[in-house]
Order: sequence, then structure tokens, then C-alpha cells
Amino acid sequence: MKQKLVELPEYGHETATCTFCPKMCRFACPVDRVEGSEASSPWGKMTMLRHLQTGEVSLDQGVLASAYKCTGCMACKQACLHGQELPPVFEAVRALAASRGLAHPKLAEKDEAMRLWGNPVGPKLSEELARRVPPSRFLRPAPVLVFFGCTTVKRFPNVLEETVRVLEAAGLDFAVAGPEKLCSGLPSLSHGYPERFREVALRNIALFANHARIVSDCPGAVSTFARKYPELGLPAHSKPEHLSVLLLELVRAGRLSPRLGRVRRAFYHDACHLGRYLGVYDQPRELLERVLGRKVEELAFHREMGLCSGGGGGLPLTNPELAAGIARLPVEEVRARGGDLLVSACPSARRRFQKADPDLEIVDPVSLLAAAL
Amino acid sequence: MSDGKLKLRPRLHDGGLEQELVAIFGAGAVSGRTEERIAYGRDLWPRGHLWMRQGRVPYPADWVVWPSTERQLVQLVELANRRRVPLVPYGAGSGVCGGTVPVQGGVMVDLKRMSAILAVEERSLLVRAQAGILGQVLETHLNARGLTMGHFPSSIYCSTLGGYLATRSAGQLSTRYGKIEDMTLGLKAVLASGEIYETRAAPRSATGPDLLQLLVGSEGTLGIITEGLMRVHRMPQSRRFRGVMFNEIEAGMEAIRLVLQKGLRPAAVRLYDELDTFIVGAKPREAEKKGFAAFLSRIQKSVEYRMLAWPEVVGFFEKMLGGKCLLVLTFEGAAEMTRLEESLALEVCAEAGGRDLGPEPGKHWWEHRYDVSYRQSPLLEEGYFVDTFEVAATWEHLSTLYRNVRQALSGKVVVMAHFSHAYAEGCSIYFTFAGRGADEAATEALYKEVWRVAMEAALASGATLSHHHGVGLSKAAFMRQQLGAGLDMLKAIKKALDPNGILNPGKLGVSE
Repeated sequence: MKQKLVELPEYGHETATCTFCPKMCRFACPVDRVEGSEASSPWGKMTMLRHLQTGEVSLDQGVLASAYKCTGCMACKQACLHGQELPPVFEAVRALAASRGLAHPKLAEKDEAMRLWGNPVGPKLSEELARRVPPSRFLRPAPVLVFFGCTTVKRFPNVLEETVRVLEAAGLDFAVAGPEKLCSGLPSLSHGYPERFREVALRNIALFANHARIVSDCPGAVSTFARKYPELGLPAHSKPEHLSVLLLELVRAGRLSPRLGRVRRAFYHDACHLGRYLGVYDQPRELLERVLGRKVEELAFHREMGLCSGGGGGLPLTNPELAAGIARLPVEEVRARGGDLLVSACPSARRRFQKADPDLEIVDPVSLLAAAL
Repeated sequence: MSDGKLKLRPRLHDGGLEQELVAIFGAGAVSGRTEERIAYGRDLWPRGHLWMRQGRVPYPADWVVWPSTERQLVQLVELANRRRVPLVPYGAGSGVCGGTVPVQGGVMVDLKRMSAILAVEERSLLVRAQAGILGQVLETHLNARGLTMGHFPSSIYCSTLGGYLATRSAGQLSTRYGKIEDMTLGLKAVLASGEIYETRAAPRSATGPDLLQLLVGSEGTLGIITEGLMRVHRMPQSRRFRGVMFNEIEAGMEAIRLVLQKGLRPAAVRLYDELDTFIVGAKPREAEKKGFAAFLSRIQKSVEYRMLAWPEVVGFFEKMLGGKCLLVLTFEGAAEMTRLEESLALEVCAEAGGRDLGPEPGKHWWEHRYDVSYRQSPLLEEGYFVDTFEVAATWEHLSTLYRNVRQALSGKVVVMAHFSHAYAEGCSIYFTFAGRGADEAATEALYKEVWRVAMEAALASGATLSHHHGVGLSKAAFMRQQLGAGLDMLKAIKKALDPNGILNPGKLGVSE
């Protein structure tokens, strides 16, 4: 009595498992937490997809609208006994829509930018990168290649300068990817443009091949390099790593010695791609403890169950109010618990949090480290 | 494009209603979109799963609203009375009795945007929270403050505080912490009259009948619960776990009775019958499965997923298992207390013929205590139905109840049971059953038949039809037998509080 599936049949098991589940992952889903609609709970989204698969509804009868309501944070998997990974399923729905000319116009715009510039913003990113990083750091042979995130370049150029300063202070031999600013391709993948992702990824892989460590401050980039690039030819000797991991290594080795200033109480936010995708939880905490002189404060939902910022999956483009609501959850908790400093090692998350609470101090670990040298 | 073959029932309530709703809630908090109409058309009543598999949405919602204030609800109630539109209060739709299915259309009133923790009073050990907060979210925030509510229903990940109150819920540690009615010091609700009812915060009152408890378990038919003032506890200093094996189910039941009547209060008490012990009760951790245990594990999986089509075969297999019934006990609280309670409980169990298995079975249960909720999907995908019902009786009738229900379902479906939520006076029995027919129509017919005979067997055995799932649609037809003249009292109360019948019509057996 199994149902016949006419659309995306390769995800039949996933939709059946979720559709008949008592919604066990919903408490973990940031979209669900904010919107509170059954239709945009993981269960509701997968139910609509099931109806699409069985031919009962078409893509534009709510299936696509609900498939856009996923940040790709993977918290659902954490709460699922079956270990279901829903973001790739929704990416497939988005790709199906794009192939049929039904993509969200904002995502189509970003895809056009990716086609023209290799990043979702445009030529300004390369200009900003060239302005902030000494030219001698580009296109040089070095064991470590630093790849800055697009949001960092656009929104947090101070992090570019602080990173270069800190790594120079440690005496590290490193290069910076650029001056042409390419994206990791994660937005293309999550927006439903797998071919564009492949194009950008292959360009990056050609640049990475001569470096032993590919270090980025952007967790999304690192997780994309680690999970998706090897199958496209990233050599095994080029190891992707998050900046916070490298910084801790340098501090532990005594190559950086932060001076303890005023001991500060800081809340730490686990970025989705850094935590759930890469399993990096302890290193940023240890780094911050060494810089701040005390353990970080934990949000009620932290580590494996850490809260998403709402920045992934193109949500700020397709559902800006929902994305803003998700960003408010952690910052409101910090405020409610009397905090005034939130640290996140994800530039996209910091951008979302900053918009949610412009008066809250929100920084990257490298900024605190740079100030302590 | 819009060429899907699913044709939703036209809205039963329309004609300018959307504009009026938008005027109250704003456009962002009102929906009549296809995805919402479909999603709110079923809750976790297994009949809804059968509809889903059949590609049907027999009761699509007309409209969904997400209130953010009581003031909006007061306006909504006025609108509903004026236009005679049903309102279905909605938490997270985790109910398994169809309590939120919009059988008469109308407006789904989803409370999940009223989900704030309003106050934590650590001195009085109370939390005031809005009804729409998910159980796990509330518990996690309490844990961050070193507190716990002690309410752990297996639906905690997917259910709301308001839902607990509306359905008179019970959690897995109810023997220590009590059921939701014991935890509730106060609540706030919007009544069908448009009045806001709020109880005074006092540990107890002797000011007439307890009106708070009238709303606890009212399933959205008497008011829309918007807030709860709940008792909380400091996180336990210690937790102890134990497993005891009995050779027959009655010996285990007797041990529970004696433990409770001795005045001991384990946090969890769970006695599994032979089949339940075999399938879910005593699984070793995956990593520890070697040799015969690994072989056994494979057989267990085949029992779960394949043999359910042949209840007679499973029945025979069950006899072959011999009597092995696992009792899980857990204890929480001060270290000295839990040590003593555990020791006394084990003495009682030994006298009743139990064999102490040490802490591992209890720990295993604790670590996997919500796993069973995930297990139905593969069976439903394969074309089975899976359902549960939880009845309760005094010790005098408990064994008869268990045997009679098993007998009534024998040969029709695979059935297993565990005993939990124990009291000095009796206990609840939680039956799980699964089966399938030759096709979808036969499966649905079998499902209905099984419910009918199970309920009749339970009633004839002196049981209450629900210990904590509630009534909804699935048990509404049996409410006369359950309540007798009490049903007329309930109907009179409903008529007095909601004369136009706008609140969740068709549920709890109080209205058509």
C-alpha cells in the first residue's frame, strides 16, 4: 500500500518519515519557534512535499512557499531519532522551482550576481577586500590561505584588518584569498542553483590546491569546503578549518598572548555551520575563556541545540520578517539575562543579531583577541 | 500552474470573515492559504494519518489566526458569537484523539505566538508562562535556572503548555511530580462570553468548587486558555534508575501496588508486558549488542516492522517468550532520600518475586524515553495503523481490565501494554496496537472496529476511558457510558458558558 510518487521520488522515505511523525523536532526548528504555524513546521513542510510527490498539489499550491521557510540550520536533524536531514530536501524543491522558472525573484537576482561576479553582492566586495588587506597577502604561496566570508567583507571590514593583524602578530605564514572575492557557493546551493554552486566551487578549488589549510571566518564557507568540495576535487591535503580553531592553536602554542583586561561576561552563540555541521563547540569557548578571563555564559539552547540566527537558506530574502524574528530570540535572551555582549563566530549571524538589537555589543572572537594583544 | 488533483472542501465560513479577522489580528496573523488549510486539517489522531495516506483532507481549516494578546481573543470571541463561527483553540496539534480537527470549519486559534515566559518566581517556586510555549522550550529555560517543571509527556518536544492544560495531560514522572492538574496553581482564559477569567495565585482556596479544574481538561470547549501559573521544582540532586524482571505481569502489578501503598514515590514506574518488554522494554545499547544480543535485535526489528500483519503469529511468538515483564523504576530528589526509596522499593519487588537487574534498564529507558514517539512512521509508511489508548482502574479491576482488553483485540491486531502512572489506589494501562487490512478501506474499517471493541471491553471492566490523552473525537461517542448523568451536567455547563456553541464544537461529547 505504498503510495506512488510522481515528483522528487528520491525523497519518498524522508517525506513519509516526517509526515507520519508526531512533529518531534519542532521545538528545535527556528522557523517553527517564531512563526508557530503548522504549515511551516518541519512536519508541515514535509507534508506539503508529500502531497506534491503524490500529485495532490502542485509546486505553487503552498509547497514552494513552505520549502523556502528553512534556514538550513540542521537543528531538526539533531532532534530526530532517524537523523533526517531536511535542508537538502528543501534545496531540491527550490532547485525544481528554479528549473521551472518559479524561483523566488530575490533568489534569482542573487543567482545572477553569482553568475556575473562569483559572489552574491557584486564587484564592491573585491574592492573592499583590496582596500583592507595588504596587496602582498594576495596570490602568494603560503601554507595557510585565509578565505574571508562575503558578509565579513561587506559588513565587518574591521574583522579583515583584525585577522591580518593577529595572524601577523603570531608570525604565521599566510595568504589571503583575493583580491577577486569569490563566494564559497553555499548560497547557490541552498537557494536551489546547484550548477552555479559547482561553477564557483571549481574556481575556488583551483585556488586552494597549493595551500595546506584553508581557513575562513565564515562557518558556512568552511562547512561547504569540508562537505561539498572533496567530491568536486578539493585535494585531501587542503584542510578546511574555521578561524577560531587556528586562533586557539596559536594561543595554546604561546604565539599569541592575550592580556587579560577587564573580565567580561559574554554570551556565546553557536553558529549552525560551526557547531552542528562541523562539530566545533569547544575551541571557540576555550579561546574566549583565555581572552575574557572567564567561561562564556551559555544560552538556554546551546551547543548541539544552539539557536539559529535566521540568516541561512536565503530566508532574509524570501521571508525577511520571519528571519528577523528568529534573530530576536538569542538577543532577547541575552538582554533578559542582563547581558551586554554576545559573541558569535559567524558573520551572517552577527549581521542578523545587530539588526535585531543595534545597541547590543556583538563581536567575533577575533575582535576580542585583537583588542587583547 | 495549480493543477494538483486535491480539491479542498469550500470554506464553511467565509463571506467577509477574512477582512474582519485581519482587522483584529493584522494580515500577518491570519491565513487561509492552502498549506495552512491542509496542515490544520489533522492533528496526531491516527485517523488523520490514514487520511494522509489516502490523499484526503476531509476537514480542511477555513482560517487560521495567531493571536498575540488576550484583547484580540476577546474581539475574536465577539466576532464568532455574532457570526456563529466555530473557534478551535490550537496548541501544537500533538493530540491523538482528534481534539483539534475542525469538523465544522471555522477559525483555528493557534496560540503559539503567545509563548513568553512571563515570570519565574524562584522564592515561591512558580513559573507564569503563556499557553503557546512548547513544553521542551519551557523546560530548557527552567533548567537554565536550575529548575524543572517535572512534566515530561512523551510529546514534550511537540506540545504546548496550553495543550497540557486543555487535555489534562500527564508526564512520565507523574508519580513524583503529579499530573498537570496538580502542577497548576492558576490560569488565565478567555471565555465564550468575552470575559477574561483569571484565578488568584494562592496555594489552595476553599471558595466554592475549583473552577480552575473545570477548565483543566475542557479541551477548548469552555474557554481559550492563554496562561498558566505552574509549580516548579529545584533540579533534583540525584537520580537513580533500576530494572526489575518479573515472571508474570500480575507479580509486577502487585509489586507496584505495594511500593505505592508503602508511601514510596518513585519518579517513574513502568511495567511492560511480555511483548512490550521484548520490543521496547529491555534493549541493550547498540554498541553493546554482540553475538546473541545482536541476533535478538534483528529479530526484534522484524517483529516490529513485518510480523505485525499477522497478529496470530505474534500471539504465538509471545507465548514462546515466556513470562518476562520488565519493571522500570526511577527515583529523584535528595541523594539520601533516593537511596533509601530505591532500597525499600527493591525489597518490596524482591518479596513479590522480582529479580533485580541493576540500574542499566532504568538508565536505558531514561535515555530513550521519547524514542517510541518516533517509531510509528516506518509502520505507517508500510500501510499499517498504529495507535494507543490509556485507560485506568483501581487495583481491584486492573488485572481483569488488562486481560479483557487483550482478549477483545486478540487476533485482530498486535497489542502490547505497559503500566505507568501508578497510585496507591490503582494504575493506568497504556495499550499500543498495530494492524492492517487488505487495502486502505479494510485498514480503516479494522481500525474503527478495534477502537469500538477496546472501549467496550474497558468500560465493561470498570475502567475510565482516558487517563491522560483526553476525549476529542475518538472517545466522544463513549462519553455517555463513561459519565452517565455527568454528561448532562457537562452539557449544561457548556450551554451556560458557551450558549452559541462557538468553542471547539463536536468535541468531548458535549455537542454535536
